[in-house]
Amino acid sequence: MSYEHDLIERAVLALAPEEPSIEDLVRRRDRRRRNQRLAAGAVGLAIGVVVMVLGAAFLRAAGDAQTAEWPRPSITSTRIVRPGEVLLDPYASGDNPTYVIAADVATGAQRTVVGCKVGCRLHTLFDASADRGWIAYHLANCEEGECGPSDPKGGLWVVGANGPPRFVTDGFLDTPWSWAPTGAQLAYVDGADLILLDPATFERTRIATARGPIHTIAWGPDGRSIAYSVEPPFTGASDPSSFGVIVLRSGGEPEQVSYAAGVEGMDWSPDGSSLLLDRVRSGRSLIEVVAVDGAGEQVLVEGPRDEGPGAPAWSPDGSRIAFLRTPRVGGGYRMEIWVIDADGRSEMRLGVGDSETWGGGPVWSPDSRLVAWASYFGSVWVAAPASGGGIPQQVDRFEVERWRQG
Amino acid sequence: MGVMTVPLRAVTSDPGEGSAHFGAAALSFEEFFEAERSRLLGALVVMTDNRAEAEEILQDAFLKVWERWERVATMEEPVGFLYRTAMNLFRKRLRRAAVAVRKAVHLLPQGDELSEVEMRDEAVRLLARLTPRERAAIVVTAYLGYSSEEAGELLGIRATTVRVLTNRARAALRGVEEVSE
Repeated sequence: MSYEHDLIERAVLALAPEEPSIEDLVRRRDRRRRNQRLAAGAVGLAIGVVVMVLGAAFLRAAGDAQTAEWPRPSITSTRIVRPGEVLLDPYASGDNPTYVIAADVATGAQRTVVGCKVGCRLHTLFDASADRGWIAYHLANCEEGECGPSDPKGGLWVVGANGPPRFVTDGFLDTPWSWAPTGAQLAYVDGADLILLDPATFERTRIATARGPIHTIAWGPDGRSIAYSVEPPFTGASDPSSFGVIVLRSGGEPEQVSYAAGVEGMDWSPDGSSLLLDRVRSGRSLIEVVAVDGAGEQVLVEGPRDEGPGAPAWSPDGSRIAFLRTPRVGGGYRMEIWVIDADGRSEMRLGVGDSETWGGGPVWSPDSRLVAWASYFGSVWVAAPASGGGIPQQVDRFEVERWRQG
Repeated sequence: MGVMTVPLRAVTSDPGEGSAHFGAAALSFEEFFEAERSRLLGALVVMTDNRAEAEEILQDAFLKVWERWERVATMEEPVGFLYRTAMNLFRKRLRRAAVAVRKAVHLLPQGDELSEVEMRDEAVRLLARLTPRERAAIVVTAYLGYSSEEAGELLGIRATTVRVLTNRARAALRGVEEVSE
């Protein structure tokens, strides 16, 4: 062994990193997925607002994008997801998992809307644009330099009803992206840049540049504002003003609304006045509410990092927040669904999942009366009255998808 | 959490892939993870000089491998794929950080979380003198045992650059003038 080898080995011993377990990997993956889906769910819930705001102005960007109005998305007349259809996670139904399936809610008829050729690997992360003209999806395939001549590159892709899929950006599950709640604009992150993509023209507009890596993004319900969280850079900066949660409105300057780090997920309140933060601080998981006017923040719930809380979702009427806990039970974990008042005054457990790992939800019904969730393996969704006054019952998965996708 | 048998939901449409590749002799992902995590984590924690970052990169690298396990398990060098993935993530983070630092206006010198706590340890202190690139080069070659050519491939730089970096690192660690190859 060389002197350098011995030296490094001593350093490794001195630094004594804590080795993650395979369970840590599962939780990490699940957490990312549920935050991605939460973002997708927020889009679905906001679709009702779309029609009202669609006519109101999106002015074309001019000059420096950071202070300019965001560009108006192109209009597509062909929908890849037809009226009455919902997208299905093919795993949940046991169907061919290579494809993204659209199912007609009324007839149950299913068809493939995204598929790929031999050797192609799809994530279960996908979502349709608000106008149903486009689907964005993650391809877990080869990376640049590894791909064969016929291999599509891994990363984020977009496909419409006509024409081939187009590559948007590389990156794994840590590339945040989200469709706007209006029209068809895809917001995605490239390092410290926040970018808007018009899928019809493939025109990209940089609307913000952060001082560190952007970890999460969430569209405001009006489709004219985006919140994003910036983490402290990997090396170089520890200035507290260089990270936190920032809100950017079309035509405005970025406004820092929180100095919170460790944000893993966000959700806007239905009225657009506050943000829910799903974050980690000093080994604890927290759910916080932050007023976007800078009026302050409040910790609603907290717990040990591995036990949650997490995956918070605001009820459509804004009065309550559903979230998950995964308390340790014996040698494992149990999934629990909880609801807390938006002011943090009272919380209650609605139900217990049938699996240790998360499979979907919590998802609110449009009338804010029910909360649904699913286990990892389950195609079975269960809903409980959000008032806590009834027994959880199985609900049709099409129904839940309709809640989720609008 | 008893989820050892839960497959990551990456999927393949290749009819030739799947269980056919997973004979009794094939290594399961869990076995692979158990066998490789310590060494990789040790390398990463020295390269990044930051426990949290090392754990992040490690987990992301293993998630990527898990995602592609059907394909990776059939490779001649699954360990090589793991290390290449981890080094790609390391480089990506460095690049992102560099971009962010360039774009930032009010940055303070970094106060690394380990520097204050572990500077008492001589090995850590010596390695902390190196630049991130020098540290990466010396870890990949001297600790992980890759050749300059392989290290160059892993780190996305030329083999000659690896040699320059490792020479500088050796010189700095031994407190001597830059050694010639």
